[in-house]
Amino acid sequence: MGKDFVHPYMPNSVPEIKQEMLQELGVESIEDIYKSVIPEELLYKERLDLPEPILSEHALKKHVMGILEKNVSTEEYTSFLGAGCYKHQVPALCDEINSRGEFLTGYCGDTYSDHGKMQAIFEYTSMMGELLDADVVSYTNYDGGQAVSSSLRIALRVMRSRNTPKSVLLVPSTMNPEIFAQAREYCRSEGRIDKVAYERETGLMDLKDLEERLKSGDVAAVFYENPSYLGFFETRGEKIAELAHKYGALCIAQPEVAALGVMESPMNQGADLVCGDIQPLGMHIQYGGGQAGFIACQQDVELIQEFPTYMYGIAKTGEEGRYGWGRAMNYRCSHGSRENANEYFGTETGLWGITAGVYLASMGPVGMYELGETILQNVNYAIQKLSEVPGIRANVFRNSNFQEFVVDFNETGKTVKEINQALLKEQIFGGKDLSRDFKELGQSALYCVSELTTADEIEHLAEALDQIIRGC
Amino acid sequence: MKETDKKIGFLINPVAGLGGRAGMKGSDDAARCRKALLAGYEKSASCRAEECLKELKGLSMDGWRIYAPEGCMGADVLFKVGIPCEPLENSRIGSLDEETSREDTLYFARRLCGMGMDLILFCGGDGTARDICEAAGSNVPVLGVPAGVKMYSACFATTPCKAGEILKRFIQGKETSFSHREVMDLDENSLDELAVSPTLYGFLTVPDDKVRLQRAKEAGTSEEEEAEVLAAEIRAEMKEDTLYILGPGSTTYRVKQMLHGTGTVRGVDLAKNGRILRADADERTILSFLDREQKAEIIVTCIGGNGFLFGRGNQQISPLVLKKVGKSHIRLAVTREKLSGLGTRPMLVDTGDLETDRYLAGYYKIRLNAKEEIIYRVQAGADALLS
Amino acid sequence: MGYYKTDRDFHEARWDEPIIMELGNPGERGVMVPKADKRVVESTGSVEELLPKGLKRKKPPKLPEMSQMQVLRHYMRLSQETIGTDINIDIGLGTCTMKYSPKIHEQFIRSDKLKELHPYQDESTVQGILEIIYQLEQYLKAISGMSKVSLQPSGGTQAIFANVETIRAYHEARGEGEKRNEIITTILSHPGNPGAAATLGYKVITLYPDENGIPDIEALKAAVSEHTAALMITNPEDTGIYNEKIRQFVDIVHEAGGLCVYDQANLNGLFGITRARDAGFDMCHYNLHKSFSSPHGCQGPGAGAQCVSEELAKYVAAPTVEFDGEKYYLDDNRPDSIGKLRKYYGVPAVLVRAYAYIRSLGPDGIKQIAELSILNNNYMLKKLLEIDGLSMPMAEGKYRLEQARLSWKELTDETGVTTDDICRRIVDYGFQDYFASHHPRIIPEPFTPEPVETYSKDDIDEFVAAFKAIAEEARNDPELVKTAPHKAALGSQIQEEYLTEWENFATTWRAFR
Repeated sequence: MGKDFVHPYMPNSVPEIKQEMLQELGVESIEDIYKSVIPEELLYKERLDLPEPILSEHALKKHVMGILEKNVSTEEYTSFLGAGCYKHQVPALCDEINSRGEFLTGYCGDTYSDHGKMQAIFEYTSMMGELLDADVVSYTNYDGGQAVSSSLRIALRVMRSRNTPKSVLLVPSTMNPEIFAQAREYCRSEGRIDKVAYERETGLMDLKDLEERLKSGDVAAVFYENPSYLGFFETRGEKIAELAHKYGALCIAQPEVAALGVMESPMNQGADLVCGDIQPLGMHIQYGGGQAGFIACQQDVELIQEFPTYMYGIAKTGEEGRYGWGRAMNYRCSHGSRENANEYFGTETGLWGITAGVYLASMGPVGMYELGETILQNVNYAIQKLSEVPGIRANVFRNSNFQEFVVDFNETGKTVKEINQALLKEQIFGGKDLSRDFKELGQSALYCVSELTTADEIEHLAEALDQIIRGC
Repeated sequence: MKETDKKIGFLINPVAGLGGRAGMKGSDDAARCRKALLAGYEKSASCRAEECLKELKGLSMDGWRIYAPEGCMGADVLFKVGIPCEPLENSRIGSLDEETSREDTLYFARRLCGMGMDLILFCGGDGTARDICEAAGSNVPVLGVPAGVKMYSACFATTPCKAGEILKRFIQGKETSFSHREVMDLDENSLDELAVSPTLYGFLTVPDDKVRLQRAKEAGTSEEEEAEVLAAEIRAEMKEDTLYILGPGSTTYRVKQMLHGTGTVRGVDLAKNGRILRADADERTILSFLDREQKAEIIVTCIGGNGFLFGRGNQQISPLVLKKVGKSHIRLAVTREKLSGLGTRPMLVDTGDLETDRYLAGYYKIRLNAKEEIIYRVQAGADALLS
Repeated sequence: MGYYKTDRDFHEARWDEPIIMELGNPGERGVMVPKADKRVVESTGSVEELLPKGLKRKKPPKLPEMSQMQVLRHYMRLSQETIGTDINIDIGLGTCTMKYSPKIHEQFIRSDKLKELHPYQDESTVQGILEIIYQLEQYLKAISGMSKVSLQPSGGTQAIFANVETIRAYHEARGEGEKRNEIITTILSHPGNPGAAATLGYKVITLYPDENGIPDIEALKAAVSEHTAALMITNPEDTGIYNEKIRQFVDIVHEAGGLCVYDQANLNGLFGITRARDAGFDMCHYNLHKSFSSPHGCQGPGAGAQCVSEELAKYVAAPTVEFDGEKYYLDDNRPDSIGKLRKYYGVPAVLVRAYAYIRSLGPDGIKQIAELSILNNNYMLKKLLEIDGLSMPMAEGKYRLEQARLSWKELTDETGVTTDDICRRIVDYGFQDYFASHHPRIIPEPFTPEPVETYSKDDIDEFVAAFKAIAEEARNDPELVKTAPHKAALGSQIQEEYLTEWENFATTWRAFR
């Protein structure tokens, strides 16, 4: 094959057309153009070290799918993995709509060219507003970790604009370790993240330790998850908010969105900011690629001013009853003054926002209720069944759980890694190994069920664990 | 109508813009204007004014009164678009419809000011802006509808429609903050010479156009906010026991407002230890102060559009003053917005002494706030024209 | 023959679709949810029994209650009111590289073998995706000349952020973290650069271009000092003007002890022609949703690649994907790493698309992307600049690479029609509204087109013809342009104070009502 070849993605690779265009410009070759502006010593003279092209679509498909076939998916094996990425039923409409070329290949077209996109995004934030009981919902950002990190920095900025600068952010020790790591680096130049102790018995935030730390007067915000990363409900959200406010701090909460059909929104329990991830609302797990973050609050200018992302606002038009949309209060995004040092933002996760809208519209209030109901029942059944397995403790924190629970394998003499390897043979993905992130829990794992998990699968897990532990 | 009603004055310079179509560089020359009229060139200012006023269609004017000179200097257009007004009778000259002059603009602008307007809307060009500035000073809020040939001044809305939008928002009570904008003009008769550039004539108080919607992927802080932050930064930088020579302009005026005493928008003021020692100082005064002081700094802004730093509107800061203070003691107070307006052109100095100009040339750091600095080029005006 | 149509009678779909919050009827269902098995329900209980007291939701969320087809129809209509790259000649959105996103890629990423993988699965069950990520890294090393690539960033700006974190880690490791607190950038570099630098507390020094459209060497010399942590620069910038002094820039900053970071979000004019490392840069980044073909998805998800030199390899985000000769694995044991940028590992669907894209082009095809982008751009510019009232400020007579920043100033001065007006009017011709400029606009009435390699000569001709027609309209009937759009989904202009005043601000239906 020659150096130049006609490629289906490049109409002007046809030599005659290329020639015609060069003639129009009055140059011999394209090389002449770029050599006139790029210094000789910077030109790359070799051929790029890349594999030769796979030209037919069929061959490309064989090649790429051939590699992907090496994966084993959660459709083939039964998965008990969660830990921030949750497999749920994805309505066919979600995939249908986010495959539409108009949405899939749209970008930053604005009010007039992309009216439909703007409406879809506004509808997403409107439905999220209902789910969260919040008046203001941001455009989607990278992921829940980014949403938490930005919420924490919003709190630091709010404190500064109140002329009470504070530098400490309190989070639970049971927090999602990936988000914690992300937030720690993100906030490091502006503040410090400290962990509040938890009660060994219940896993809940230790309110005494919390109050002690708040007394320093240097706390900008208290953050909690509900349910916690380790699966149990945080039953004292109202108390946490009350303490935070008592000492002049904000309260930030991350609810699990799939629980909100049955669970009260933290917004109604005193939280000032609510943030999290919408992946459970219609996004496939995609090896972690379906994540998208949100931040919400009530109509409070002090907080909204500090939101770092786009916000799509509704606007009336010249015609009665017809609305348009645009980026609202845009100056926030690059607020240049010293007290309000900016956060960066870029192309984040718009398509997932639209998809979550389709999901919420399909589910409706009843669907969201039933989702929560099924998960609650399944998780309790799983705890029951695993509790029957001798040698393991199925719910370390004696608490009510949503979709996940900690299983303690310390008594078995086996590591979680060994157990999970053995489960693989049973075509089961065992729970997330906690031994590295939660050393105090020893050999424990975080198990997750969903509305898709069947009683048979739970029973199969219990049997398999029983056999592995007994060494059969 | 009640006594508590708010008042808007409205004034058109009917011959503004006339010179443009007639191939003149402006319409300041009354005799040439007359010739143009006779030659059949039409007056366009009233059309511009009409475009602006159309934006008010359907707006409730309850609580507002509009005052305008009768005839072509205002009332006619208002009548045409159906906005009620109180015409100011013409007691000064015979027939306004025929020929108007600078004096008419000055006369009515002064009269409107005397009546205590909340805003004066004027329609014209740089020459008109100069006249308004002369009559109204920089304390009465005004808004310019662009209709002239020369449009160097920053007190005009970008288009007549935009002016209408701003006016509408003002009437609705949505436009409540103001800033000082430059009034500039150049002598149209010497325009053919390349070397000429607009001169700063003063400042007008103009409602802020906060609507800064852009199709851009990112939008920035408004110029107002930026200038505020910049001024605060400069104020914080100011050292004890140092004489500050503060040039004219809206950005430096913000700094002056942060000091004790009353500063001027147009003049060069001297300050020390947070206090204005002398407002509107001339060269001799500056030099006599410099003789007494160990340390001195100059804080100066550039003129929007043409980028003159020294030599336009601040000649008091003379070559001698500049040499005494020294290049390293010049603090530039320029916002990013203003720099954007320069395109990619350098800022210029034209002190009347080429040697001083070349001494001042070079790269300057402009600190905008604690976190942002800009490096920008300053060039001698003469050299800029050569290159 | 060809694609060029002179008399296209376009009108965007206009459904006047109500807000979804107003649709549906009580009791309707869009989808049924799996119920727990009977024996599960019997041995567990009801929501009331299983939820802690006080946590039970008091009022159900006021979500729409709609049947499936009605939800579908609503969203199909909204999609028809959106102009994606698939349906228009998307040249106007410069700097965004709106190229064709091959449809075959969508089949890959929608296979269960990708979309149903959990990020915490055992490595032995995800060898396929790890292989693709690893190989993609190798390809990007070849393209950039760098030694290590991290594909963890969720988007281009997050990759810039990763580079700033790496700058911080590098200087901290040398005990100069406190001292080196300044980052130098240019006014025409993407705002993500100063944005990410400021996010981590750096002071930002900005250089302005001279009449050649590139920043002056002297300005850079005035900017560097012992406080310089890094230079972060785009080349070409939004203007498409190649900074031929780039090597000198790098040397000056290196001499001062700073690092040099190349913003190569848009690589479309440079593939195989010049490489970041060869110009002396320590780091660069790519947006995989730009030059590497992933669809933009109404602003994401995208993905970024952080590419660094050998010396900086130990700092990249953890985990990295490694290969031990037999199997691929995630390496979390990287003590010097800047840590996590996002949960899990990058945005795998975008990585698979980028992988497939490179495989379908090979070394010569990849270089041809750059060549045809340059050809298309200069051909388009020649045609566009024949329009009276449109100009290309700075660096007169110089070729641009893949894009250019133009100015409608002359037309605006003459007619009062602004770039924002034209941007709305172009929608009436069936094009997406275009990209004017990043903020601030140092070029007046800006317009930034980018005709990437996937557009045909005819496409470009039609694009140019539309602007020519609008320029004529601006002269003959300016009101037509100023009151545009007329044939878009939204037929009238919005009242902008709804977007600029807190009293009108509403991002949800409940707040608006």
